[in-house]
Amino acid sequence: MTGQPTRGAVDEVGSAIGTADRSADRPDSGAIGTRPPLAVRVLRRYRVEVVIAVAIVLIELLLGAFKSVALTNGNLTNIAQAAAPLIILAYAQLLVMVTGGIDLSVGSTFSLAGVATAAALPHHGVVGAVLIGLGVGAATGCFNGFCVGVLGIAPFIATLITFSVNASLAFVVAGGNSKPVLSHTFVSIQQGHIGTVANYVVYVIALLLLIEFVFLRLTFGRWLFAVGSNEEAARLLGVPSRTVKLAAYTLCGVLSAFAAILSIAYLQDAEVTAGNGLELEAIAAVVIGGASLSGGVGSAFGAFVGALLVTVIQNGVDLLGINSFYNGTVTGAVILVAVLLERVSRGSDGTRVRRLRDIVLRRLRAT
Amino acid sequence: MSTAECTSTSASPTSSPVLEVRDVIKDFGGTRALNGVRLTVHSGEIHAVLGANGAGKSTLLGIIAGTLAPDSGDVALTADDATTASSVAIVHQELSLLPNLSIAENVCPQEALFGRGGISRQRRARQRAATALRSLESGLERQLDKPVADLPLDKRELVEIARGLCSGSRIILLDEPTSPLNDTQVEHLFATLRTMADAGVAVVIVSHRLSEVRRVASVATVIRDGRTVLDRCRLSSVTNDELAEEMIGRSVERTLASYRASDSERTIGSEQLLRIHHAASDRSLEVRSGEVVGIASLTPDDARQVVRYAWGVAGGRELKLEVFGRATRRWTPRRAARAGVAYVSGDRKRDALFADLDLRDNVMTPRRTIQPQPWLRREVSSAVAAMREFNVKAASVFDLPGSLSGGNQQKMVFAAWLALGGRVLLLDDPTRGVDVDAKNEIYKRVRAVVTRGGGALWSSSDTEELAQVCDRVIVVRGAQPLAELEGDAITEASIVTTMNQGETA
Repeated sequence: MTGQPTRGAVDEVGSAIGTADRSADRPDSGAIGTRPPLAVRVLRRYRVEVVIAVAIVLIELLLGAFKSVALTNGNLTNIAQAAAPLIILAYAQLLVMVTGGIDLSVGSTFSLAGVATAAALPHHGVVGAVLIGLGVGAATGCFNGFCVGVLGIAPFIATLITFSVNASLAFVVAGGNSKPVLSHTFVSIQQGHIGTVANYVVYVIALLLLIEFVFLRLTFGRWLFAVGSNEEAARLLGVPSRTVKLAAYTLCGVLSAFAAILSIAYLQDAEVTAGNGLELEAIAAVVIGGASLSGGVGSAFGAFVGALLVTVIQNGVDLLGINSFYNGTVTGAVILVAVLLERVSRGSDGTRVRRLRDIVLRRLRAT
Repeated sequence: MSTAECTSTSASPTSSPVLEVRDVIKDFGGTRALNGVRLTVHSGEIHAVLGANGAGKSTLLGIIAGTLAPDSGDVALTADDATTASSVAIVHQELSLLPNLSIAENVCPQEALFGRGGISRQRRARQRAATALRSLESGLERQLDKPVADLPLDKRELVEIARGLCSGSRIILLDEPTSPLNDTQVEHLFATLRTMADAGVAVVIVSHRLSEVRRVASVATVIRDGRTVLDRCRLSSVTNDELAEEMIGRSVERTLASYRASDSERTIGSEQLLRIHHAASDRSLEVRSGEVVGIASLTPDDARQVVRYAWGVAGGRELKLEVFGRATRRWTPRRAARAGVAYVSGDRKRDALFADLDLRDNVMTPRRTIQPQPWLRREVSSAVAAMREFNVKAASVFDLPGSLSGGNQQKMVFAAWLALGGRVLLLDDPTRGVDVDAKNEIYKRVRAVVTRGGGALWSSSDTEELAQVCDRVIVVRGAQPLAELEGDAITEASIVTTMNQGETA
């Protein structure tokens, strides 16, 4: 670890200050360093996320009131299966977005990794195919991370390159057609069960917990946030910001490929254009979940509920018999509402929105 | 010069140097930032490093911190064999915080960000942060989980200082730590620094405020043009004037010269330029033609917010603003500027400079906004004229503002606005991080505008400055005017006393 201060010196003056403090003899001196109760901390940290989760439940109940199909086991399973790849893509995007970056290539990496895995399946077996798929993702992410972290190219531009390259390579690999997925073993990656829980649910939840753990407990996770918060300051503190970015983009690529593997196992077919537009849906999901495009803010729980909300809304549009061409319009409206909500709940930079809220509240109180 | 008489000084004979900078030379491109600078710091002392802007203080700090490599000469740390980066803690002038991370993580990054074995040690970070914050009496130890982005400027500076304390380094360097702080906060900081020095920590403090430095430091080193001109001088043996002289290399008109109009020269007109009315208390704050009105507050941010309110950028729902006797509605900077108001902020990087645009663009942008013309005409000559008028030292108007020293950047901002001929100046800590020379120039120019029938509303965290330049000083808390000082009743002491009375009232 670079820049870590020597521990001996740290403890010495730490105790020098401590002595001065003990002489002040404050009764509450022990209490201040301790944390508020877990439930309070969780609610405080995940305010936006909890609101979105509640919104999802309300939307489902409302849909169920109009269309009884909505709340059937079948439909909920459909939502979960369709949401799983998007949620994982949102995790991928999140890793990059907390560093203050953006990855436009996750969609075309998704396409390329999908067709590459499907193409490799008949020749290299399930394990080989999966490794090839993940390898494609890792290579793409590594390239992005190298361009952004080491060469200092703007994330938007660096990932625009891989966006374009991977979309075209997907056509090259697939020869223009979709690739069928015929292996049962491979399909069971997605369809299998652990106990009574479907594999895809396990992946999504396990990744959620893993990413939150990394974000909050590991130094690497704190580095992601530090770099996204103020890269220069992070570097001055000794955070290896280049390596951090390289790792973030690489992990993003690997997760995108994993999402593709789940998706082709679900559909039993690898479409060349499967990932078209998914990068934007993933960004939308992450933003709905409360992450900031400028970095330093975001949670895996947020990405999870964001992606779930996007899927639930698409499902609702579908069930209500609305032309699916309106999907994007509805998603847009949801992003707008989510962002406004977030600005109201946050303090400092939401002044204008808060003023609007105050006016509304005053009117309400007056009536 | 007086160097010889000063070298005899040292701290207690038992102490030994923990940090020695020997004859360091550092070039940036063609310019020599450091030219054989020397600095010797002993353990357990509070050591002031003084120098005008562009003297090379920041470069020196960078070299001590290890972020810059010297071209020749060396930095020796004799405390232990630790590396430079970890045994020296630097509290930066440019806030180097992580805004989205919590206070605890910012104060104690070595636990929160580095931890042990790849695991972040949040609990330890919180405990150590609480200890450091409590020693500064900041009150922040109760909000350890709050993101730093939500804190006002003075609290952020305290977080940064607490980080220095928490680092446990044997040498702590503070770069202008007091500028955003109020006097109580400064007192607590100084008390903490004394405690640390007593515990054997070497404290180096870089500051422009001579009288403040004197209160805490015992030894001073003065740097000018990248060279040490006074080496380890005992502060009790020199006057502020002598120090200022060494800093700028020639005698100035007395540093603390008053820029206040004398009673005979005072031509305060009857014209009311600006009036801010505080509805709840029914008190108001006025600026009339011919006067410089200072605005002071215990929390510097309060005064600053009032000035920004008059410029149409800060809230103030409880305030009413009249400009040139007319009530304003939906006040915005654009309307303010068109009405003949100018705003100069000391936070140049955030509020005034376009770092990627050349000087011409920077100087002409106010005019382009206020007096728009269908196409850009005579811009270069206008920009050159405005900059010459204000004596801005720049090689070319096609340079970027980053190539200027802080003082010249600030003079350029003034030049841009004063060229528009506005009569009301809103000055928001306008000399922050500016050298003595540029300050005097700015004081003179503002006085000139005011003498021609203009008026200025001047907020400053530096009470010494307010005492020097203001005809009236109004003390506020929140947005409420509390008390007023006028003419010769304005001294640094009286302002400080009034501010503190305001707090208890």
